[in-house]
Amino acid sequence: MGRLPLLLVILVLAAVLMPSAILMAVLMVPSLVVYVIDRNPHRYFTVTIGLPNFCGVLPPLMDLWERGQTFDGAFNAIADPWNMMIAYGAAGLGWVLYLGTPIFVSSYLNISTDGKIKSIRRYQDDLIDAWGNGVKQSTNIAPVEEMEAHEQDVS
Amino acid sequence: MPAHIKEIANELAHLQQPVEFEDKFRLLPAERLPELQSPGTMAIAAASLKGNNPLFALICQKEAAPRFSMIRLMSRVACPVMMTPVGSGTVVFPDDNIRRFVLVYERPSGKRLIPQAGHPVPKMDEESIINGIIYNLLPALSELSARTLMHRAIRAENIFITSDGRATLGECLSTPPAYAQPVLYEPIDSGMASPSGRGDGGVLDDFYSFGVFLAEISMGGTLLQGRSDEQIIEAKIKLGSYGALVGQTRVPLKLMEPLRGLLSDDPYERWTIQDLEMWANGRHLSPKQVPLPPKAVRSISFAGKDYLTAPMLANAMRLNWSESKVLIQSDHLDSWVRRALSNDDMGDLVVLAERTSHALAATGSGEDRAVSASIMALDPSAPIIYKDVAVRVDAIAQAAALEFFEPGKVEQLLDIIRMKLSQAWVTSQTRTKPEFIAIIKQIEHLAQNVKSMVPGYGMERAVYAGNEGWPCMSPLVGDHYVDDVKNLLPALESMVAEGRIEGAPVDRHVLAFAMNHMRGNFDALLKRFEDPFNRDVYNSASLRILSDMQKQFGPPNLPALSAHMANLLIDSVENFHNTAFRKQLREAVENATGEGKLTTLQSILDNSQIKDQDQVGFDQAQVIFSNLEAQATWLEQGGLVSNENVRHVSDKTSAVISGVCSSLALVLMTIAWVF
Repeated sequence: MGRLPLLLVILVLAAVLMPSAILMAVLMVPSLVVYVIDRNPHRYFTVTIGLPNFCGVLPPLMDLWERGQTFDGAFNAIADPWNMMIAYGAAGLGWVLYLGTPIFVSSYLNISTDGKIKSIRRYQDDLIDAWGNGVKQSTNIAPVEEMEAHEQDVS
Repeated sequence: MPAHIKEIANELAHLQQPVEFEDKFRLLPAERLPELQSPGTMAIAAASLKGNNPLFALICQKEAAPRFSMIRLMSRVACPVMMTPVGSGTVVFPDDNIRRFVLVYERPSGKRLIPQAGHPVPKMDEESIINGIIYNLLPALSELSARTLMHRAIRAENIFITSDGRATLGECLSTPPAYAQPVLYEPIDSGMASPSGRGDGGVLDDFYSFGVFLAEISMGGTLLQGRSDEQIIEAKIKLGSYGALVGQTRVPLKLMEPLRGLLSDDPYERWTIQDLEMWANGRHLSPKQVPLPPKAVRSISFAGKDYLTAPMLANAMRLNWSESKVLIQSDHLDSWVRRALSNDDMGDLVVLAERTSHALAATGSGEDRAVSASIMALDPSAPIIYKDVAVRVDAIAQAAALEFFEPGKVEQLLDIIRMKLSQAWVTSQTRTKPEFIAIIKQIEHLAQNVKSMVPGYGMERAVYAGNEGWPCMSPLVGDHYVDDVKNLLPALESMVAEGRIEGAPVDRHVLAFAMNHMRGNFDALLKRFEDPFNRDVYNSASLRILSDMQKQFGPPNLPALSAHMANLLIDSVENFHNTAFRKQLREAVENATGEGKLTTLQSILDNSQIKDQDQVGFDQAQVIFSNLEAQATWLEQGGLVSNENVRHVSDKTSAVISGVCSSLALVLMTIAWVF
């Protein structure tokens, strides 16, 4: 589905479910902010913040739907600081996760690098055993795309 | 014995042990019979395993090989006054394990008329000649004529005479036709040709020789004694054969007719068997006097002498090649032929020869061809003459075989074929003969063989294709007489086992000989032999041809040859990249060598499919190694723990963790909402 049809569907839904839309628009501000600043095409940052933020919005949203989808119910939920704290707090947890992961990932990659190098060298030794030292004299340089693909595999 | 024939009796002195031959004869080399020896052979005693006829055998030499095709035909002739073979073929002598060609004959009754060439011939009276020689030998001559077989060895020392004066015709198969004949006994054209280039000729050549023999015994001594071969030919051209040999000497009156008839220089006028039989039956014929060549009104000066007839000049040109070129370049010859000889046809041919010379000037051989063609024009009956070579038109292949290792001769014979001098000779003949059709076919066949000079073709192929049963002349087979391709591999095996072959046991002769006998098209394979310095390619191609030979002709086991080829090609195993494969190949080579199977060896060592597989595998391994090296370098340079990579991995990881946690939260909330 293209962006325009998706936007139209959202607008139609927002028009039909206006109280819910108002509630979500206010409580999911952190996700909207992250969506705007996230430059990664895969939108990992947005996913990291957006999913817990949505989990935080879900209880007042359910409450609103149980009370009949009114503007009063929506404004009351917005005005409730508890709801605000849960929704923004969940988004904050996502933010903390996003900022803290590199510390662990970096440590893990540091440890695994040596193992990977050893594994590659073992494979190369096997090739030399099977085909002789001549196999070292590479005549075919791997294309750049192929190299990148291999790098991706290693990571 | 003629100087050009090799004496082999001394070389074979070491042969002592008896050997059985064809399950019919026992050859006894310890018992020599020099009195029965033909030129270039060694005569030994032989015994029949089935009868009691006294036999003897002639061990022949491969340099002047016996007449293979004629042996087959002659052995069918049963004539008591002519020696015909009772057995022939190759046999391995146990003393040196060398295969030699042997002819077995019944021992003739009587002794040779003269012990060897050069001895004076005893003079015989008219009665003895007519009754003991002519009447007695008529059945033999009649048999030869009826079957169109050429003896080509009728001469005084090859006639056996019994004590009561009855003659027997000696053997004629142990050397090429007329190879051992003195020039005296040959018609003029055959005498002009070198002994190697005389060829089978025709039945009439035998009648000429018989005529010379009759003249010798009727006059006694040696005719034209003390004269060189060239002087004999000159005398015959100048005076005619009868005039030169008999001249004014008194011969028995009764013999004058056959002598004139048999010694006629014109083959169309020469006596045939019918004439001789008619004469023997009492009908007296008067042979036509063959006119001598027409004399010119003025002589032509050439090489310091004056000549009055065209054949005399042609003969002189044959002997003075450089001066002949000068003569051709000047206009003297043409004007002499037209004005002094008044022969415009001959003049036209001389002019044509000169013009061809100009056309071929760029090749550098135009003048030589012009001289050759001019000699043909001046004396159409002369053989083809080109530089040092004088050869009858049907004997080019034989001359090539006999003179292959003579410096420069093969090149000259090749020139004769390529310059189409044979065709020119046929065209120059004033009278056509039915034999010309066969000759032209033979010439075309020769030309076809020398069209390509790739190993397997060329003059070597022409030798084997043009001389049926000619033995392989390769130095690689040593002294072995290999006339059958089945014996080629055993000969090579023997030579290799003796350590007499160092490199590949295949050369141009082996290839040409094998190609002449093998089935199949090997042209693509033969191209691999073009560069003898590219040892790997040459050796593997050699293995291929040898294994094909073993497949077609056997023998099943050739251990020495297999080991030799494996040694030559073992380096190619080392050229394989895959070490495990190399090991497997080495083991396979050892097994094949042990079994003596060239075919198995070839499937391992000259197999392009497994070579390609190895190369493809190696190329892939190189690419993988190269990529692994790039990865290792990237890792070693900290590519994996770079900020960028850590960020990238962290982004994904945090998104996954967030997703999982959120999903759990959603599940819990749903459960709480429901309950």
